[in-house]
Amino acid sequence: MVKIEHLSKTFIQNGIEVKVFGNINLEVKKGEFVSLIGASGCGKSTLLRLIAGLIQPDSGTMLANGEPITAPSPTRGFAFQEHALFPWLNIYSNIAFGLKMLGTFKNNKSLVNEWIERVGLKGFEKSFSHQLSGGMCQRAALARSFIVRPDLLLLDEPLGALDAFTRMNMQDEILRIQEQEKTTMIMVTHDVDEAVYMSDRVVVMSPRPGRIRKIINIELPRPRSRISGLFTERRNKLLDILHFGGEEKEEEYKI
Amino acid sequence: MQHFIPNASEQTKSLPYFSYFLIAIFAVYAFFIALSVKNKKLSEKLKYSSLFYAVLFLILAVLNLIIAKFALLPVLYFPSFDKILGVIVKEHLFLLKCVGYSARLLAYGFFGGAILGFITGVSIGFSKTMSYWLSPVIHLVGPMPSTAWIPILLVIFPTVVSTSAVLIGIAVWFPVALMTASGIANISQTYFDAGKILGAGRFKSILFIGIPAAAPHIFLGVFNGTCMSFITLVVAELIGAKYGIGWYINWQKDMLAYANVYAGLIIIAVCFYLLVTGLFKLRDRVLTWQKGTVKW
Ligand SMILES: Nc1ncnc2c1ncn2[C@@H]1O[C@H](COP(=O)(O)OP(=O)(O)OP(=O)(O)O)[C@@H](O)[C@H]1O
Ligand SMILES: [Mg+2]
Repeated sequence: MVKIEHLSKTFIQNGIEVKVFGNINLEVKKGEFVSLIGASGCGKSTLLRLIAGLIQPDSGTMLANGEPITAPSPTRGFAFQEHALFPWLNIYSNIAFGLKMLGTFKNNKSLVNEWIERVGLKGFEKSFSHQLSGGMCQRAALARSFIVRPDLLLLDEPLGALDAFTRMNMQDEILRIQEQEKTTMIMVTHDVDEAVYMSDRVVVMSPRPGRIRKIINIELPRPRSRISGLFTERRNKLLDILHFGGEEKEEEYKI
Repeated sequence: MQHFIPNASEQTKSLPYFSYFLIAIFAVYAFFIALSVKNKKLSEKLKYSSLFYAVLFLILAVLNLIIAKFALLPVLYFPSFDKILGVIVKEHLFLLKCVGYSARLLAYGFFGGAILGFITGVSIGFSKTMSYWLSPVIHLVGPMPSTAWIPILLVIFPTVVSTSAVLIGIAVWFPVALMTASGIANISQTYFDAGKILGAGRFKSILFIGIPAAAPHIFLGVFNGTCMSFITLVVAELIGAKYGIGWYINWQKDMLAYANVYAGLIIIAVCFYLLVTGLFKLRDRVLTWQKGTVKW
């Protein structure tokens, strides 16, 4: 589905070159749910934006479905941290936006209503984003992404701004839609529980320069339970790798 | 009071238009009160504004006493309300012609300036090349009061009408262009990214993201432009117009016909108030999505 080889990216910041990463290799299979986790500034968002085609790499190859990635495409959706719904459009028009841009809206009006119902926003079609809660906005944003049927969805901390309870509901909602649509997912998260609960694989990145430190397979059957022993065990293992586990945490404090 | 105290002899005789006016206002007010018996919202509104109107008419009554009844102020410069209203009634055809003439000038200048300003702003906002060449022009020419161009424009343009229209156009162009450009510059990159992801090309990005997202700024620019256009209109009509409400006021001032001057001022105030109100109504329709906005 997605194949990345020797990817490197450098930004110029105030005239100084900042190397975000020098050599990233990653392969994501079709239908897979992959989480990216790692310290702030290690280039997770940059990697997603590269895969989306929003920015260009310095070198390396990126293939999506065997085709090189050169520009953004509706086949590669993107969910932003702050939902990024257009405040000047109501919920209906926001969700219909992709279809309108593709010129297929007129023949697919029922699809808009279908998605409004699927994300539980019936009755809020005429509302504007500032009139809805964060969770509702993120649901609308998901519908806006999914309605153009992307085969890959890139999620940059989509649930980061939500409270814990809404967040757990949204995790289930995303998993449910993913199961129905068979969309390949790459999601950035800071939440270890979220990564373990949702992903087939967790990619751990480390900063300066950004690189992939470890890839962890989460071989838990779905649907998963947040309280099972196996879940907790996986979570602790991941925390350990992230240096938040017992002894190493002490060590961090000493520095 | 208007009825029972005779006008001071210094004030020339005129039909008691102010009485008619008061009666008309009273009738309208009574009509609304009658309506408000059934309509709770209207009743609230009337109650809220009643103090304002009471004081307003008290002041008018006192002014009427001072000016018309006792002639305490120089009669030449302070004609009675009767006379001012009389001018509006008697000369209404001529005044209407002046208003029409001014409206035409304003329309040419305003729409020309606003459209050009919008195009300039959008070009600067979306094209690096345009921004490179046009930004300095805007920054240099924009803050100049457009009236400073009068000597040059009079030479370039063949008629007074075109000169005046261009003058108003320049005055409107600058705030609209500036606010449009800054509105576009302030749009979060995320919206453009989201648009690109969903298949919006460059043109569609401008049309469906850039312009609606910048609309609040653009309206501010148009609003500033409207105010500038009013100022410029009145000045523009001083440079040799044959009709026009600004010209009318100046002409009557020269004739020392102050009743006519006041009549003209009242008409200008009412017209501009209606225009600005219309503009705000339009904005409220277009920008329903905005949270807190300035109310008019
Ligand atoms: N447009 C840009 N211009 C210049 N530097 C950038 C740009 N985008 C990102 N960077 C730099 O690249 C590095 C990685 O940024 P990135 O946003 O990818 O990190 P991240 O892993 O997503 O962090 P976070 O977890 O805080 O979101 C940072 O040092 C950042 O300053
Ligand atoms: Mg990030």
